[in-house]
Amino acid sequence: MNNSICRNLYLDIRRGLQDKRFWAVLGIFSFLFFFCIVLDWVRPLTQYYNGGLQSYKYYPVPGHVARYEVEVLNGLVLFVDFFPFVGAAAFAWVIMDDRRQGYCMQQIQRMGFAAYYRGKLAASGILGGILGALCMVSLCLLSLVLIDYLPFFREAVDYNAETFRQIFQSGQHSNYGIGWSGCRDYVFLDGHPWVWNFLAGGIKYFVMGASYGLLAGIIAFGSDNRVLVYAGPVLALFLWDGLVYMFDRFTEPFSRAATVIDKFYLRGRMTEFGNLYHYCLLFFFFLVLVFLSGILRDRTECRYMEGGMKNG
Amino acid sequence: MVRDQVTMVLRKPSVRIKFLLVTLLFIPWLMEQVDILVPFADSYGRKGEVTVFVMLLHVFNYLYFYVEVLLVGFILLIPDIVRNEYTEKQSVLAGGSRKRAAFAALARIVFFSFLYVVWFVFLTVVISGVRIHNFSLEWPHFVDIVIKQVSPGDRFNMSLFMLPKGCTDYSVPVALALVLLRSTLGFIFLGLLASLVTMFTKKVKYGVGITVILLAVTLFLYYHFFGAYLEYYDGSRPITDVLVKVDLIKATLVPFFSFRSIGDDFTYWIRYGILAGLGLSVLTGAGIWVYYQKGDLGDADQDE
Repeated sequence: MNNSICRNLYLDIRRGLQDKRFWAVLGIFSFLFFFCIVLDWVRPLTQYYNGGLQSYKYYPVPGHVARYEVEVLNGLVLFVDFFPFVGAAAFAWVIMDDRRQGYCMQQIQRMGFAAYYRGKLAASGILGGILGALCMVSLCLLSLVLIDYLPFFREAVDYNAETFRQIFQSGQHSNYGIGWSGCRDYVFLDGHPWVWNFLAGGIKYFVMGASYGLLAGIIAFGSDNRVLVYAGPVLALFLWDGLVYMFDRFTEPFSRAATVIDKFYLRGRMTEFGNLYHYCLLFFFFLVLVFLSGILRDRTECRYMEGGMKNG
Repeated sequence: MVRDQVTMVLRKPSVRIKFLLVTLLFIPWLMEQVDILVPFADSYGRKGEVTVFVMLLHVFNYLYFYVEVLLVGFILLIPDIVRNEYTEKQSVLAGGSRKRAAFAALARIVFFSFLYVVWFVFLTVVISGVRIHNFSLEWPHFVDIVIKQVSPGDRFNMSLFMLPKGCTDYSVPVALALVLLRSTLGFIFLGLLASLVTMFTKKVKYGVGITVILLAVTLFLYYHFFGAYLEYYDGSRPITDVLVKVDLIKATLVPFFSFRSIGDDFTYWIRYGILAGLGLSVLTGAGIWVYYQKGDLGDADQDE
């Protein structure tokens, strides 16, 4: 019982959740979100209060409500391209540290290498997913608190939201340079409750974080290079899209194949919450990683048994 | 000593794997850019074709290319090139001179930055040469057309082809040399900065971290604020001048690797990029030199 995978998985998850590195990553991401939201609001808020003429209060952008801010920040190159780091930072470092300190050999002696390997990869995946989902929750909460509930922001938001609603209902949005896509986004976000962001975004970010955590765990078992472990999932994301592009290019003459291949791009779909193709793709990516970890298990076992404790 | 250090780094399996990974990343990206640019040039009618050297200029001017491939690869290589304590100690003990060790460290970083740029120049020439088959040293006419389409007052205008006005005043080889020099100096500065931070903090991860932070700030300001212009309304100013624009582009990495807008002046920004790269490289290099003369070169606990 004490040496079962489940028991050790529970201990690893508890260890990961109690580590300051886990919460430091969440804290840094939350600070970055806070910083982004505040900077985003400098112009519209100063326009509302200092613009002078009444016409300046009207800010012709159908955004700057909390829900739209979540969409905007999720779409930033900064977050999309570097989000895989979150999955890597959650737990993968423990695998390297345990090997460096020799603790891994004690665990392997108690439970066997296979159970140790599976347990650590599962922990890395689960904690990566938890951290990814918490980043999403943090963004939603910060947006709500800073934009929807802060009186200073709320007054400007209500003024612009009402003005925009009138323009949209009157059908004159094109006269104000507001494209159809902007109206559609606003209508969508206005018509759907917050639960959409939390559920869809939280689930999606959990699955993404779990995939990258699993990948970082696989790399941690195969490498002693910490930078490679942290940067590996980011590289893998870029390489995956590069590989899909190559397939896309070569299947271009075959339209059906190209249509299917086109669904396999990971990065472009990261900002889409309700896209079922993306969830299927994430599931497929996860299965690929599980398969890869199975293939690499024997080689990793040889590395651990022959190498023994890695002297730091 | 320099040759020994360079050889030792190049022989490391991790360096070879990282170079291979970045090369694998670079190839599909380059092919994608070729597939985009060739039809883009064709859309202007019979106004010239994309040449290999114009493709080189595009690759080393496109900020997103740096973000996706070149800077990611360089950041991966930083732990291998910024410091090697064992070799340093051996060289100081054997040579008896901290100056020689400092010179070797600086030369190692400069050499690898140069090698990094040369490697991707080589890849670009080979791969785009296979696809484009055009090694002409003349400017294709469509470049002039693209530049002239931008209005003079446009502060932030991104195009598929980010060569700003004034570039055609130089011949293609000269423009290419200036762009490559600017990029090389940019990489040298990042390498030296990472090395300096690593020395002071005794941990490579902080050296890597400072480079990642600079890149993150650049991305955020450039893409989210349309060219790093922060704007706000100042109620104390006259009503016709109430909007204040704070230009932060020079606080980012953009001038070292690209241009903000196709409406920029090529000569001004290339000169700024080269001089800033040179100045900052000299400054950080001087910091490393001073540290080697005065600082602790002992066996610190280096966290990789």
